[in-house]
Amino acid sequence: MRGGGFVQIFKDFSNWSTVAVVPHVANANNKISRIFWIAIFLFVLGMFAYELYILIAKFFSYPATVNTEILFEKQIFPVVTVCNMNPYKYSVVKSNSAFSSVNTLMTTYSDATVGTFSTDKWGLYADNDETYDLDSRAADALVLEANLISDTAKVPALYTYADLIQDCSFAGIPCSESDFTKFIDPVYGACYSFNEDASLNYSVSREGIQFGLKLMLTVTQTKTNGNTDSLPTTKLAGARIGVNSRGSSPGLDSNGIDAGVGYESAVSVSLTQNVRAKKPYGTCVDREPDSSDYYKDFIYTLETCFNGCKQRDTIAKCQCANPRLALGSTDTACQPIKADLDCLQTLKGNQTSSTPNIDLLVECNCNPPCDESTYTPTVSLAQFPSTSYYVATSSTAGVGSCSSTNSKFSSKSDCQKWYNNNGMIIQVFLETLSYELYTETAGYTVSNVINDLGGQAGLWLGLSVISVVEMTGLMLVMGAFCVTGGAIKMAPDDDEIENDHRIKDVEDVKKEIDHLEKKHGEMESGSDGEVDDIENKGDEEKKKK
Amino acid sequence: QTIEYVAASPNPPHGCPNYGLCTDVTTTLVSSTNVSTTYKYGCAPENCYCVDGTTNGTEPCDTIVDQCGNDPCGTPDKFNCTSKIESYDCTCQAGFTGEKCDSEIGSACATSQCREGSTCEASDNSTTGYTCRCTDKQYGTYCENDNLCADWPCQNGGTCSMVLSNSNWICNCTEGWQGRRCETKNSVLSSPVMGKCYKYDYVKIGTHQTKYKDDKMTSDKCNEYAQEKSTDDKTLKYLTLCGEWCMVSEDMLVKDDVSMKDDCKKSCGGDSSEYCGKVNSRCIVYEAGEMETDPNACEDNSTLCGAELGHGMCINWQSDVTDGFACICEPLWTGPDCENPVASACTPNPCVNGTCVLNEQYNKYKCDCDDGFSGDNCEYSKTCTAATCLYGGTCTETNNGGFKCDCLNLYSGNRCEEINRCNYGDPCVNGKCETTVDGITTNYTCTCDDGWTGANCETMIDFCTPDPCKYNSTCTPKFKGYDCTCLTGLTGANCSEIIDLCVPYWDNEAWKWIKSPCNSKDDMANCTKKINGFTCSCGEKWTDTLCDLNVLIKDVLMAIYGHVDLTMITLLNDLMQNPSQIKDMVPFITGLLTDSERSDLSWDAGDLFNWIAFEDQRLDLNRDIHKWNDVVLGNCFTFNHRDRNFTYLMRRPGRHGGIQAFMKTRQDEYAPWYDTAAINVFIHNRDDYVFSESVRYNAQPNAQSTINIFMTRYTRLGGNYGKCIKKPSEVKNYYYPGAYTTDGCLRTCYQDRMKEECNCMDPRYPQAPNSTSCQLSERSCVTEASEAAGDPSTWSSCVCPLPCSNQEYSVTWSKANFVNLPITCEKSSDVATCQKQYKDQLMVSIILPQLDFKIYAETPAMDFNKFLSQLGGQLGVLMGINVVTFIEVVFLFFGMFMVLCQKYEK
Repeated sequence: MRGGGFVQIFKDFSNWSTVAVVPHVANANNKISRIFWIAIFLFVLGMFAYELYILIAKFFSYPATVNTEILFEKQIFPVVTVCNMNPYKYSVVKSNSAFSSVNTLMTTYSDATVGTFSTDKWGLYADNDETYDLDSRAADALVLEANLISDTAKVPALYTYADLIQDCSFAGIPCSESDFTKFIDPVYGACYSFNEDASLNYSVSREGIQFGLKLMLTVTQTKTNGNTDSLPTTKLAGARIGVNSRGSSPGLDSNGIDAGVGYESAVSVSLTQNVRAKKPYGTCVDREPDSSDYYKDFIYTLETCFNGCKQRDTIAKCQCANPRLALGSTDTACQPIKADLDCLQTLKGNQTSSTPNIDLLVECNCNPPCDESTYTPTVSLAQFPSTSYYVATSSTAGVGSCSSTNSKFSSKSDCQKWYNNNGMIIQVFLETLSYELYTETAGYTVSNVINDLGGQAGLWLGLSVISVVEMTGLMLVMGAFCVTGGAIKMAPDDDEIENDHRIKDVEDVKKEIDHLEKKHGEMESGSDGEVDDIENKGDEEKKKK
Repeated sequence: QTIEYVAASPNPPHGCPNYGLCTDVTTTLVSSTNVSTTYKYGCAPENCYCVDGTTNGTEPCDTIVDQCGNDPCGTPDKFNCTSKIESYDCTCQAGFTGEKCDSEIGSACATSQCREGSTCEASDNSTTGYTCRCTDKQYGTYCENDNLCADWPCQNGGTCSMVLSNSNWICNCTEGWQGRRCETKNSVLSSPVMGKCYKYDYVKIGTHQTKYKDDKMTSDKCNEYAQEKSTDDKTLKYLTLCGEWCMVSEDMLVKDDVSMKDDCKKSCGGDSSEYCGKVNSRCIVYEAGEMETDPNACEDNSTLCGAELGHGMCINWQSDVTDGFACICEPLWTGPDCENPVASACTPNPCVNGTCVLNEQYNKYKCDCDDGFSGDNCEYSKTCTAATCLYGGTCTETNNGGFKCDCLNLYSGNRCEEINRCNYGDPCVNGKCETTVDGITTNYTCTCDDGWTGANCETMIDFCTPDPCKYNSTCTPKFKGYDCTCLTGLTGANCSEIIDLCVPYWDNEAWKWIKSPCNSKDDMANCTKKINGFTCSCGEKWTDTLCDLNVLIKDVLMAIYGHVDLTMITLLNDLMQNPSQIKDMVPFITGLLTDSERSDLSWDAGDLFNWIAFEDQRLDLNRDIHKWNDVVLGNCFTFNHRDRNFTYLMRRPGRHGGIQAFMKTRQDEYAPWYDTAAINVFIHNRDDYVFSESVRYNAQPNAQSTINIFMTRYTRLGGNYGKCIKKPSEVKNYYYPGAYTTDGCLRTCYQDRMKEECNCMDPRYPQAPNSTSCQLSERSCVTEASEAAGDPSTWSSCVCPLPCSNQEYSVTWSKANFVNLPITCEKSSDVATCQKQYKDQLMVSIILPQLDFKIYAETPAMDFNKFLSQLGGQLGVLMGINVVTFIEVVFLFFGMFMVLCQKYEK
């Protein structure tokens, strides 16, 4: 009785179920037909399962898409950093006692360039055959020597605002030293950043060179009295320019723009913003862990991560930190001795070696930042000053104008020539107010999964939410049947149906109708015969004629 | 001893008839004695030269030309004409006499005294009776007097009459006329005087009778009208002119005067300078002129000219001429007033040897000379005799007692005795003839003109002997000289001058003067002239005949072809003129060399690099830098080349992770046609090939150039989504090593086209394995084919899809100069030289600022799974269809088919 009840329940369910093939299986007329429909059901069920697997795999692969938007709006002017390529005044280095070690290094290096070598503590004599190695070692030694001197003691040899910047204007409005933030770079000495301070609100509402920053710089490779004031290790005469967003590290040692003397360097920049997705769709991070974050004062970038990793590698291998990179609170800088310089040299790329040094990409596990702003510069040059222009500046602290009253020069032509060898103009402006915003978002979300799942289920099984409800109902019915022990009847038995008087009456009416149909059939056959007779008579008449 | 010449013939002078002359007189010795020598002279008949008017007959010069052919004497029936040498003689026919031969001999008119011009008429049967019929201008018995009034000299109706013993004439003038011929008026009317302007008066003018109208009215006409209407007792004094009307009156007709304006100033119809007013409006009043009569002087004084005495007569004349009169006198009186008497003309008798005949009309005489005398007063004796004029000349006596001989031609002199031998026979043909006289025989001496010689100057001098023309030129003799036909390159009269071809000329192309043909290119060349040419001595840089072939070009041609190919000279000259073309042409020369030969011509790594470093580590030039050669670019040096075993990776962003190189440009070794100095930097994928036209970046000397590169990778779908190439074998031809690129495919198509058009391939690009390179002479074919075909990307035969995967690098750039005084130069002994060498060097820094890069990947917009999902969703939503539905439909159609089959069987 119980088994029969279950069968009955399934039979009833199959009659009204919306799932494909199920009604056909229940209502099959013969065994072959039933087997056929069962086979079809299994096929479509298998296909649905396969498609479901693909959808789930695709979802859990967390694909990401990048949306590109071009925005046009008022922007905050980027931070512009300028440094003299010559870090220290050679005249002060030679006379100041605090720079005696640097002066000795410069003298030894000068002698080494012409082939005169002597035993020194930096090991310059070891590179007597290669110019590059000699220059490289001397440059590293200079950084190490300068690191030993305190910032206070460096001040006389550093370039002041008046020494470096003769004129400054933003969108045609004069700016002043208070708009700049000064910091000391281990490679370039004193550097000045415009619009770095958060209290400043220089912004640009129109594009073009008229609405940017204009600086007239003097790097003074030659003083007004004709003496050379550049260090022997300085190869270039010009300024190092950095353009970055507020809060970012200038990174002048690695990235930066070279601006030469005798030119006006017009730097147009265009902004690109990247917004990246975090896990699981992307790998971006906001910051490094505090324990390994060497650039806490700056916004996190890949470069800061690489530099921190490089510094840790240097400390691990040389037991001292490279002053070119940021130093931790517990780190000790390398000393300007041959042993440390040799160790730093071994850390430079030697990919062809059997034991190559650190690969930053592979071993540092650096992830890109979640929010990044990048300025891409384009540089074009013009001659400064022109042959008929005599420099005029409102600044009185520096060299001054090329007027006859300037006692620093014997003639206006000498002044013009000096500016051609020592001066330059920098113009930094936004190329356009429109910028590109790249936003990384999830490429395959739950909504997409549901859409695809609905389609696949509908195609193969005809499943829908209603079908789910049906299944639920079926489970409830089966549960109730088990609990009550099969006492509840859902429908009458076959025997009871036969004994019902309504069924009997219907059968009687059916017999009468069958009887009437027989009579009607006989009458129709008779009429057919008559038709045949008429046709025969026609034929006979035709024969007589 | 005397010499005597005797004529052999009676004909003078040399024996020819009718005074003919002899061109060659012959003398024959007749006899010779101790006392005298006698010669006989004569003329051969063939040497006779006839004078004009005679001609040859049976004997030379014996016929006189007929001179009477035109009847010069008059009527033949009265005159008889006889011909003479160049003249004729007229005589009357027999029985007639007189000047016109019209008087018969024996009649009375034969000896009549009728004046010449009149006609004599004889009386019948009388030998002495005759009548003289005079002409109009003659009168008298024998018509000896002149009729002075025959010409009617009087004018204006005057009458002519002869007065004062018919020796003069006088005109009796009519009233109002005077003068010798009554040609002058006796009275003159003065001009009217203009008065004022008055208003037209209709009443008075309308009633006035003395008036007339004329369209051409003038004040003078009105004045004359007033004179006509004037009478003795009434004088019309005023002239009133109103337009076309003239009114004359004794008093003024109009009295209302107005100012002279408007209608008052209307001009007269006949004279625009006069005012006549306007009819019915304004009138101008003139005062009439007065008649003035000239007085008659002859009437006032009757004693003038001796009229009362009969000595002369008075003629009235104008007052301003000889006091108003003139006198004509009797023949026996003279003087202004005919007060002086004169004697008769024949008293005393002026005719010395003749009779004085008096003409009483004029008191003149005429001498009738006696025989043997002539002249106006018969004071000369006749001088002409038969022997006066010789050789046929005609003698004519003159008034002064002399004679004049009219000679035949060829004779001259006072008595026609002179014979000029040079005037006949033309002995000197081309010279000057001078006659000489040797007795009776005349002779001549010829002074020949220039260019002629011989006795009679008949021979032309040959100036070509000896030959005056130099250098074997052709001499042509001519009159008084010669012509030299010079050889080419020679000039001058004697062809002695060599034409100097080394002369300046104007060059239209260069638009300037060229010193000589040798200096069109080479200013240092010297030009030496020679016959029909010149020789050029070239400078050190030029060669060839005209010094217009550059030594370098010649060396190039000799090196390439072994000889000077003329077709290449123009091409190479264009090279020297336009250095920018040299860059295009050099590959056509270097393309013929092998790779090893080209590589040796170009730079080595040590020539260009001082050092190169990657990741702050110095690189080995031989191990890490791959040297390869391009036909156009020369030797190139590639870091991280695909042929190297080791592959360098980018491990670090920024300057310390990139390349730095300190290099030299070696401008002292540059070819002269390069106009810029720089290091070309190509940044590309390692599998890509560098073309001569690839994108490059120039690094400037005396500076550090920093190149920041940003990478972008492109991935494309093939198959049904598009066409892309994975490897070179998928295209028809590909001649470049390395990976497939679109540029390489296009250039391969270009090379195939060049092969087809020019039968060779462009040496600037890689070629097919078995093809030949185009030489410099074939460059024009390459250029023309390239221009005609256009860009390979437009060719239908060139199918060059994009590669399935490639990388592009974009670049930003900055630059900074070196310091003025680097430390190495400060320590150097020669600072200037060190600085100069240092400025030839440069530094290149190639940086990857960021390690992230963009990937543009083509992905299917609709894959199979997505298609099924969307299809199922759409079918389910709209129709509730699923896979089973299709099976059910199949069952439905199957059932219908079964039912139809059953019915058919039934």
